[in-house]
Amino acid sequence: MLIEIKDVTKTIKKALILDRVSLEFKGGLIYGLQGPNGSGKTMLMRLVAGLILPTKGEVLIDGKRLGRDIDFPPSLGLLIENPAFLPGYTGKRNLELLAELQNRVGEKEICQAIRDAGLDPEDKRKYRKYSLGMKQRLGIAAAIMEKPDILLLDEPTNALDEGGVEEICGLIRRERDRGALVIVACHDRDLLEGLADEIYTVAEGRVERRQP
Amino acid sequence: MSWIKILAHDIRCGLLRWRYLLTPGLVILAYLYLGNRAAAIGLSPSLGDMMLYAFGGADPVVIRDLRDSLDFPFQWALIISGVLLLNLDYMLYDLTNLGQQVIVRSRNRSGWFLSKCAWNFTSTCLCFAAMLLMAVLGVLYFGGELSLVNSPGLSRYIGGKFLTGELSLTSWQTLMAGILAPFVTLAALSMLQMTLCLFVKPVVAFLICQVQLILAIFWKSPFCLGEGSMVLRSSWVATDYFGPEYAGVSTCVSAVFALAVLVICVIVGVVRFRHMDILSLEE
Repeated sequence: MLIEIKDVTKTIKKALILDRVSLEFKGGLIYGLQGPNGSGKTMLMRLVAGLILPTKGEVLIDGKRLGRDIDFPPSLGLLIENPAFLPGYTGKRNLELLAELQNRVGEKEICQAIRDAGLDPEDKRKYRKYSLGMKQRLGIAAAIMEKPDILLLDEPTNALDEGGVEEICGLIRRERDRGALVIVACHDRDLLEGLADEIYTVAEGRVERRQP
Repeated sequence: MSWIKILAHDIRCGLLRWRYLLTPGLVILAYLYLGNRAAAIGLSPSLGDMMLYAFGGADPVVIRDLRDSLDFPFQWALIISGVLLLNLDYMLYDLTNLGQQVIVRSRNRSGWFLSKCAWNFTSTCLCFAAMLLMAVLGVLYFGGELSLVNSPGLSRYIGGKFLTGELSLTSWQTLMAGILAPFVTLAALSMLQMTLCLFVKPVVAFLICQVQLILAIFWKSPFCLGEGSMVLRSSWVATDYFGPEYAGVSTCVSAVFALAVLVICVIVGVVRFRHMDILSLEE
């Protein structure tokens, strides 16, 4: 798996969001995006996810250009900003409904993803009754359940306690070890230093690799 | 992945909502009014009467004198605007919430938008079906006939002030002017509104459609969207008895035009959505 971002500039309503960004991400590694709020981390994630298209430049997924050859990466797990699910269904049912869209995984894999994220698949509570931390964990479970080649996690440790952060970091490392390309955006520098294989600093739309 | 699966998601999230129970409220007062008026003169409204009354609209506006009053078609405006409001926010709400998970799994922008078009059309069908059901219940309550033939004695309530004599429509004409043309027009307006939401904020899209409806009241042309949803503007009802400016427009032409607008909106929407940024509501 290879993601190539080639000289991408993105403007939205005349505001410069990403400024001549060129990056390359490979499978089997965790990439950290670090920067303050509003620096462009989430937009870079959206760009890789195919949710936004470059104003200039191109994004290639295994040589296929996003927005021209393909609309979205073929195998993608995504948690961008706050997780959103149907409030009237249980966590498991929500994931089942999402999984039905691709039919790649069955109940066994869904239950495993829920357990990996630190939740109980047999929990009968509706999503609306979940705490913030549980919602975050369910969002992560949704992102990993189909064992995607690309995993994009925006502030994945939001609303988690210390133990929860460790659990999720372990989960992200396991995803990397199975060969997934993981990009984690986080404003917490210490967390990323302990987790990511490569760290990029995002500031005012510019992206620079941080030297170890 | 089939867009049918996305449509199933849309039906689950966008149609099975309590707010749809309000749909009958859009027409129930109109039906009760007509039923009570009919009962007062010893008549019972038929299904045709109910639909012709609900989608009566306004007489052709001919300004001869500034003192002329306009009978603003409140019930017609309420019904159309109510359905437009029901269909207003779901697409963008979904796109900024769970829909993002759906669209990356569907891996197909066109399929996602087409499923929203199918949802929009289904939603309009549901609203219209609810109105028809209320009309049927109203007919049964007032002891009328479940027929599309209108009752001549009720013409003065259904027809506008320019109607001369009794309203006499065939079942086919009632079906076209009172059911099919309003439905197609409503579906086209709703699709236009949804496509406009890809370019401007939903509230602006809603206001543009309202301006379009007001234009339809004051400007008489089969190529003015909204015209086909007013029975009183049909050439079968509005004759040139008082002069050619009072003559109505062809219901069939209006309906075909609305259908064309609907198809164009779908095409424009697909093209636009292929290049649109998917952001959060705040962004």
